[in-house]
Amino acid sequence: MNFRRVHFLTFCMAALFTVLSMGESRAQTTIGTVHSPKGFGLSIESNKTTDYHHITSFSVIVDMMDVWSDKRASVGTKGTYTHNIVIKRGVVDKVVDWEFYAGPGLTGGYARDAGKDYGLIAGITGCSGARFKFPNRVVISMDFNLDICCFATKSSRNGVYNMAFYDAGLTHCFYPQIKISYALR
Amino acid sequence: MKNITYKILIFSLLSFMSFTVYGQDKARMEPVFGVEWGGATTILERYHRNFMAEAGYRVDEKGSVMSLKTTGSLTAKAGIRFNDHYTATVNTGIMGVRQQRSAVPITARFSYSFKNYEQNGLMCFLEAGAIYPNRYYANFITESGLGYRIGLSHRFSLDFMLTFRVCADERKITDPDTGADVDIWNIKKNNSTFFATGYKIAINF
Repeated sequence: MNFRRVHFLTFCMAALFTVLSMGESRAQTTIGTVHSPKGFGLSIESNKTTDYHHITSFSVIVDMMDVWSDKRASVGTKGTYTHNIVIKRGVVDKVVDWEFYAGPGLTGGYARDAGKDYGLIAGITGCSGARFKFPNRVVISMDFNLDICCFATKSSRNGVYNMAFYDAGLTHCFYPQIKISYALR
Repeated sequence: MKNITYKILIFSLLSFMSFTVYGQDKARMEPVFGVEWGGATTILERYHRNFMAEAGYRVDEKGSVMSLKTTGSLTAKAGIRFNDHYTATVNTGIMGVRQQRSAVPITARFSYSFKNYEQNGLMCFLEAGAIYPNRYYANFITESGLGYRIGLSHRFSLDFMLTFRVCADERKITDPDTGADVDIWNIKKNNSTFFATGYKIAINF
């Protein structure tokens, strides 16, 4: 697998999603960064009310499996798309709007699993979290993601792909993911 | 860490705290909490090891090693905002010290906002305390940083900081002839000091 090609494809998807989400009428688009023990990266969210209030999110992260602990030096890449439904909304501190959301999504990428080498990841994800929107257009959200994915590694002996369960998707689901974003409108 | 180091540390912190609290309007004091995370890259390690080798001779090693090793940290903090400028907090959580070595830090931090706490502006901090690689002993840590604070509302603010950290720890010593671990009673000195630079992001509320 060409590592540069995976990076290029993921960022193309992010750019496409940005253009599409900004083109939607009445949608509020936010662009920001993602911070987590799992990794860090970029996030684009589109907040819209149709029949129900929802937040569509796309994030690309640099997967830091075993890098923070300095066991390894090279990183992976992962992209996640989620369609979150706002369950509850409110106002805190008189000016800060908050929303509690949860929803399903898709995830994929090229990264390592715990104790394994690089492989392709593909599967579904579940997300739940809270989002705070401040008067100066800064949006901070914290969510948890549960990834149920398959993990395909290429065997160095015969070149055949071996399929396995992506363990880190379950074991790292308690790692919080904080997004710091700016609302474009 | 020696008792005298603890005493100096506690005395320094109390002196600084008394200076900042002196003359402040107590009615404006507010509790402050926060979470903070970031990464740091060790740029230099200074070491001094003195031990008895298995063959019977004494080894005394001193020197510096330059190495770029990245570690992360995640901490929570609680403290008091004295006025629009001064804040004192106690921080604890988990941090990476060096390769495959994590520790629990317990530190006191004093931060100063150049503008009002609720406004956007530069801030700086000074922090000192102890790290506990395990529960049996502690090592000294100090950190300073300069950053930019974004005031989000009356209670919430966001800090982006560049930091410089000095942290003491020790390494496992191996015998130069056999390669086996040196017994602890044959070690007279085993000090390593790690100099690291990094970034931190904090949400205060």
